[in-house]
Amino acid sequence: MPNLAERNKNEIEFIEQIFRASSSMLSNIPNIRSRQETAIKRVTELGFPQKSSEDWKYYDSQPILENFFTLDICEINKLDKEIIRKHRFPECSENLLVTVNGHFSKELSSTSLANKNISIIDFNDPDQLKTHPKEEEIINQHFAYKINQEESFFKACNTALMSNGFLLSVPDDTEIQETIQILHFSNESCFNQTRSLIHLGKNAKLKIIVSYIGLANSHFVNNAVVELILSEDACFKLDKIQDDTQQGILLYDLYARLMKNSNFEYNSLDLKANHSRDNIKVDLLEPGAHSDLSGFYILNKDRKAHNIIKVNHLTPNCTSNQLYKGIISDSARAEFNGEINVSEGANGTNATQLNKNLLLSNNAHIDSRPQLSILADDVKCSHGSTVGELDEDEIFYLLSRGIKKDDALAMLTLSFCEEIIQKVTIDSAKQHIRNLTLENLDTKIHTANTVHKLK
Amino acid sequence: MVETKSNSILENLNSQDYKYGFTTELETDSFPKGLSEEVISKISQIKNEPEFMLEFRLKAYKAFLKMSEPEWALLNYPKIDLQDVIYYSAPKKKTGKDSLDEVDPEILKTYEKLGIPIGEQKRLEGIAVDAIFDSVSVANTHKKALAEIGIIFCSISEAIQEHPDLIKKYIGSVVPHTDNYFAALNSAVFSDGTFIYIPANTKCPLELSTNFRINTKGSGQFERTLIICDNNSYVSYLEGCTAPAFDENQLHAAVVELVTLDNSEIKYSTVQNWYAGDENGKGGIYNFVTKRGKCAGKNSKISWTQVETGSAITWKYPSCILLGDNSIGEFYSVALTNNMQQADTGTKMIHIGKNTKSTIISKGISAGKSSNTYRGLVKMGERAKGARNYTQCDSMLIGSHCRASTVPYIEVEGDSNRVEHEASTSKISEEQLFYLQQRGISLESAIALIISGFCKDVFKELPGEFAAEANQLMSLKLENSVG
Repeated sequence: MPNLAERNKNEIEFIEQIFRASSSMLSNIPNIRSRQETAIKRVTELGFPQKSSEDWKYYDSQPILENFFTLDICEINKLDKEIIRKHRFPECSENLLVTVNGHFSKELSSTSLANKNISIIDFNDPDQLKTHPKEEEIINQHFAYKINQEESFFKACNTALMSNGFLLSVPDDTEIQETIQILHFSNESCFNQTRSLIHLGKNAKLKIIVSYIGLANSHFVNNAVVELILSEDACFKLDKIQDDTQQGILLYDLYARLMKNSNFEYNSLDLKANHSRDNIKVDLLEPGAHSDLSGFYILNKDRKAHNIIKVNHLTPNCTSNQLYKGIISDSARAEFNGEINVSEGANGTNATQLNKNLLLSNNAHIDSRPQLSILADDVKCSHGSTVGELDEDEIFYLLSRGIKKDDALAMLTLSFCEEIIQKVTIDSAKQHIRNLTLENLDTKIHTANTVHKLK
Repeated sequence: MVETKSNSILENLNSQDYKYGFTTELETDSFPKGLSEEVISKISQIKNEPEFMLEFRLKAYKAFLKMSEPEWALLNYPKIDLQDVIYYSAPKKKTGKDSLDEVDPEILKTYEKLGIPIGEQKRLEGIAVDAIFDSVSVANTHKKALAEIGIIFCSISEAIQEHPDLIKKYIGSVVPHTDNYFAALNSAVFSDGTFIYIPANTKCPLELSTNFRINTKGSGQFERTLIICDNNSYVSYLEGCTAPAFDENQLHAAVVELVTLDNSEIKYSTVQNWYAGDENGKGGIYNFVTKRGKCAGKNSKISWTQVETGSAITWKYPSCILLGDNSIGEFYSVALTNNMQQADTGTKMIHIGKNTKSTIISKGISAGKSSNTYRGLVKMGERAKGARNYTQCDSMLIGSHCRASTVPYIEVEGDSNRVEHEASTSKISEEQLFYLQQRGISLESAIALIISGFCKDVFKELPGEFAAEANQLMSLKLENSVG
């Protein structure tokens, strides 16, 4: 238990507010409720994250503390359907899930999903659970897994304060062809608790593209938690596009548990928020599991992006890759903190990790920490990290071919991130990401001409 | 088939005896155990130090009292009781250093056993040696010859007496007394060490070398080394460390400071072979060392080469502060851990000047139940225009109960700086073993050959005969297992 007397006033205030707010947020579903109560205990035990902890060394959590948001959990706000139309990708118009300020909205989501053999369960609807015993079992087993040992302060906060997140479950041997889009809107200045639990049955296949979209003009914090379980032979792909406003802070916590021969692919595209912190943890629990994590962050002004990634190889013969790339300009700052942990006996592990960064200005800053911790001898692990600027030879080559300097720079920068963008499932999303990338680059580089050429 | 055989060999890893584990029976002058201001004043008094040194020590002690033991390293050991350590121990017989005849023959025998050339007959070997026995320097060879060309090579106690200006100017200038817990402790209680000053425009004609030996049971060794290389000069320095095998842990907390001025270069090599404890982790040296070099001048260079094979615990990060424009920092390391040994070692390269360059090559080998961590920092500030770093840290695991970790910190600001970092972890591949064996090479020689190849990039940086010695040492440490 941290000594609260040593903590500053804001931190104590923050925890006390959570304490007060949580009492009114307790769920009607007993199994969720009991975990929320444990989570509140955990919040006070853990205390607000301190810089002295290795995982928070480079993260400045003061902006969250400075009380520029209210802890009042916003009621579900009305949202113009037009806005949804603007943000959904045409490929997904029939497969849409919408949350507003952390509340799952059935009205705004597509109704056709139920026909596709996917169960969507609202955590705030005890009646729905009564007719879905299988889903109830999944929630009992997997919601807020091991919350009494939870190490993440913000995840514990989310569990304590969340009201209506959702469970998305795909039954055994079901392949969902279409990509499902989930839109998380924030349109109020508040501390949103977005929560979802995704469960794939044996041999199930699913692709999801998630966008975090900020609409509020004032500051807000989106505290999102995703729990993910992939059963044997399941295959899941998740693209996360972070499209918040400049006032937004996104705290994103993903915990994936992978069973035998399952396959998990994750792409994080950090394009807009004021600052974001991705906390990704993947447990490879049974042989043959594979995880592929990649990310791309483009930062300008004084924005910040933090990627904290832990891949735990707990059994033999699992494979994992991490590839994170970043472009940092102005006085922006990025952190890559990746870990590969290979447990004793996890022989046959093959794991790679690579972080590449382009610094485009003199005040741009990167802290890169690719880490390995290995307790088995029959493994292949490698990691790498590079920091640099655009290659002069490459620029010269393009100039000598008669391409204008601005265009050359834009081409090289875009091609640097294209490797990640290509991994995104949907074509219209790819183009959307390219556009946002160019918007973020120095205006000198940003010419309509280039965008056109690159198409 | 090959695997079972190599496994059974690997399991025998432990049966290796430590060659340097003998004790020398000597009468010593030792302080009673314990640390206090009084003990510090007494050390200073015995050494007949000027006032400023006592002040330095007491300032450090005050800072030390406010600090707590660092816990961030990946090391697991019971808390050290600093009141249970003898802070000063010296062989009783007064030892003059002008002639070796005055050195206690027992000590000479000890060094002979260690194979250290301090005897006059070995003068031709081209190595000048300073030998440190427990807390004091007992022998120093070639001193006169070096003095003729202006090189000062003596114990730090002597330097404090004879060159107080240099000491006052440089001591604590690279590792301040407030730097960390163990550096502060060392600043307060250090007993002896080596001092080298290379005047301007001088290339030191000999390899300079110090051999450290802890002899007394329960004593700690706190030595302090200070090397200054003036403009356009060069020196290569080698330190070796051994200790007898006791079943209780002994503390070694040293501080090494290097300063290079314009266009000068220091090459610092270490072969660390402190007693590592027995196969159950009983005994052995706790090695908590702060080593740092400052490239203060333009175009200067500091190169660290270390072969770490001993110690129960190694906590050591030889670093370079690249202050001068175009200065270069290098770090080459082989760290071998076996049985219950734990090592958390690496480097820090702080790029401040323009066009500074650094190279880090680190090879970690873990066997038995040991743990081996590389922890390194590469930092480039916005002033460091055109800075470059290349890092390669490879680990090799032998057996399935050991641990290898890599914990790099890369902090870069500014668009003209470049960092490349790569690392890999692997085991000795079956194919390589098979290939060598089918050429008629025995399994053990094959493994030794592969390990020697794995470490080649580092060994080639060691001065002449020490490379061969390092190779031998590696084989010895893994005898009955890999060679």
